[in-house]
Amino acid sequence: MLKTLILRSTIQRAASTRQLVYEGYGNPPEAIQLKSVNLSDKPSSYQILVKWIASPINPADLNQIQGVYPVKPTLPAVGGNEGFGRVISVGSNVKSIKEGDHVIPNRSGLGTWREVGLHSEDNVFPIDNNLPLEYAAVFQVNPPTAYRMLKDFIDLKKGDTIVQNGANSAVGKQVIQICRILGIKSVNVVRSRDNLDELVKELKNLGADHVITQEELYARKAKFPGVKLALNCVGGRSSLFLASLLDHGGCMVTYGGMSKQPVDCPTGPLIFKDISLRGFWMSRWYDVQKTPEKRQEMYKELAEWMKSGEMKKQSFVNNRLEDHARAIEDAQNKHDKNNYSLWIEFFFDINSRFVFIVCRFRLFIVFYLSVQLLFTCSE
Amino acid sequence: MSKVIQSRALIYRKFGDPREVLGLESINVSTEPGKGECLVQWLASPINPLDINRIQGNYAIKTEPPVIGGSEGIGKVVKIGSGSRFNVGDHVTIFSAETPFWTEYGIVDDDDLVKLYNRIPLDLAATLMINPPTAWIMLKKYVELEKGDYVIQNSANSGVGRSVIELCKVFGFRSINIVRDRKNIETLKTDLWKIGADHVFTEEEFKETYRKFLKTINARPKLALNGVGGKSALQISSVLERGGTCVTYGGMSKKAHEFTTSALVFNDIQIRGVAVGMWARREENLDEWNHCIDEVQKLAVAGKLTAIPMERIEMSDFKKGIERSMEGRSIKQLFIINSSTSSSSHL
Repeated sequence: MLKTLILRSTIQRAASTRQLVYEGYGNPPEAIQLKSVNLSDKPSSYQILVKWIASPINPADLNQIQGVYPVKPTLPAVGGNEGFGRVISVGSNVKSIKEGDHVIPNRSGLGTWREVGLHSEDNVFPIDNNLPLEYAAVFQVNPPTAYRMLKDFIDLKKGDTIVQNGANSAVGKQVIQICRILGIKSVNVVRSRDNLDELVKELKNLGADHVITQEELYARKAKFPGVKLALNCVGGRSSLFLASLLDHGGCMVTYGGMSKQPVDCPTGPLIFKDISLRGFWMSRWYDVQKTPEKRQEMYKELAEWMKSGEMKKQSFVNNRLEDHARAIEDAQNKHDKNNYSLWIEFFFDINSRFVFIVCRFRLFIVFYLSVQLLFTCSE
Repeated sequence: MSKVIQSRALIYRKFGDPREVLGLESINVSTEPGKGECLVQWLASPINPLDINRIQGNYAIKTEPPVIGGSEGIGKVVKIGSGSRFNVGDHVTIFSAETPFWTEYGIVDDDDLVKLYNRIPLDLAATLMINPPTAWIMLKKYVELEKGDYVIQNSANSGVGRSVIELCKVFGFRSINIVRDRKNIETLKTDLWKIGADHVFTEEEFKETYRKFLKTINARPKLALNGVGGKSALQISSVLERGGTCVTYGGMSKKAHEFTTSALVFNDIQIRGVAVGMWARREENLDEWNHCIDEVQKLAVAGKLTAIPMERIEMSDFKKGIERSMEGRSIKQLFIINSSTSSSSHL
């Protein structure tokens, strides 16, 4: 018996795999290094071996490397909080996940910018295997954020109206689409820009009922009666006017602070209309779930909408892993220049040789990791 | 033929600057209250910021002029109509959207009248229906606080602020009180400590020392009470414990209330607002409201709620009173409309 064990452990091979690591907090393009590490190719009894396929670069990832994000992994750490992978093998005691399953991290801080990872069973969460890459890689944060904000604060019914600022953000676009699917009217506020007509058209194509500029919002020209819910990712003056649109008992949910200004609210609506201000953070929602049912139910509904094409795909920029410094810098520059702080989603894509990736949105940068790892699965 | 009595009253006939539109007039009041009505002799009524807003036409609930001023006060029943549930000599106040207090006499429907314990001192009785209940509702209805829990508030020297301090003491909560810096700040601090404040800081002191201070208390506050707005709202809401609530009851600074994005997103705080008048009128709050009024009165009788410092003035001096109220920093003005010992036998 003992002999067998020794024999088994000696025949376990260690394979080399690459990952993006930071050893200390700092400026992300410099702090992140591409490192090859040796990894056992055989998971222990409660572990699973995951081949990561695609992972975004989110602002939260960059903030985390800077050391200013509330979720702080033990250093040195692998970057990345979101993404999806395929399960290569599972340990003998793993019950909820099987080989071939597509999985996403169970919560923030896992480190998804790696080719292959050994993770404990409860660090990942299975998703629909038939979900195309463009959806699966960014399944964990934005669509659920939009979904939960529309479901958890106000009991919305068909025909109700919601209003949101930053409507052309990644979350904003998900909000528009889910509203359309659920029969909720959306009033969408965007900043004025040169190609405004184009943007308005794009958002209306996604299902936006109204698109107004920030200036129009401030001028109070357009009236939208019966607004129950306001979604705010901008703050400052924009949140002030958003809150003023709310009807009696309405709620404004903040999930970002693009303007870097505090959330402003007038006295009148707060006191006499009994409106409330709340905040939403997807990571916390995941953390407080004691059982998987609510999450499964949400994932099922979202995956159906995605597979049926009711929710549109996002397009990615294709980057190679070894170009990480430049790509992260690009992501960061755009992030700073546009004054975005919480909501921009940057995507990492790992192991996606078969996927056609289009460069369309300036904001999305994908790392394309051509994985040539020779990997031998144990039986 | 019904008899009438001449009653002096402060009336505004149009919205505008209270210094200009408010006038002392003589009105006729019937001395024969109808069925379910009382003839009330009003004794005292304060000038609240609310009164000023109302006269300016800036208040959320607008009553079209001509209107007799006042938003709270105390009176004495001097004559009852048939079937009234009140007795002559009862101390009463009004709790409704229309509150004509600034008159010597008035006929009031039983349904609008609330009986007050006669033992409550006049100053306190005249200011019992807005500030103490606001404090009571904010401390009781938003967060489940336990003994020893911390509450932080700005505007700690306001009427509501003082009620919060006193009620915290009654309920066993600890209060962290922020006030604006002023000349006699040490006197004010002593004053607030005397009525039960656990900690008093000026805005500047708190800004400088809050990190150190928070380390000295076992848990962060779960409730923040905001009567100011602007950066002050941000200051008190940012130190809340995860999941804490900030309740706004006023916007003294006339600036928008500010809250940090990270407190909302990462610290899961909630921002709510309350106007006691609207809260009390909601059907589902009726029992709670009656309970609250009863509790507040008992605490007033027991001396656990005290009157805020006020300057007593005659109705004829109303211009001076209004002027001082609008200055902002001066002491609250209380109209003494009728001396409570005055005889009403001529009715």
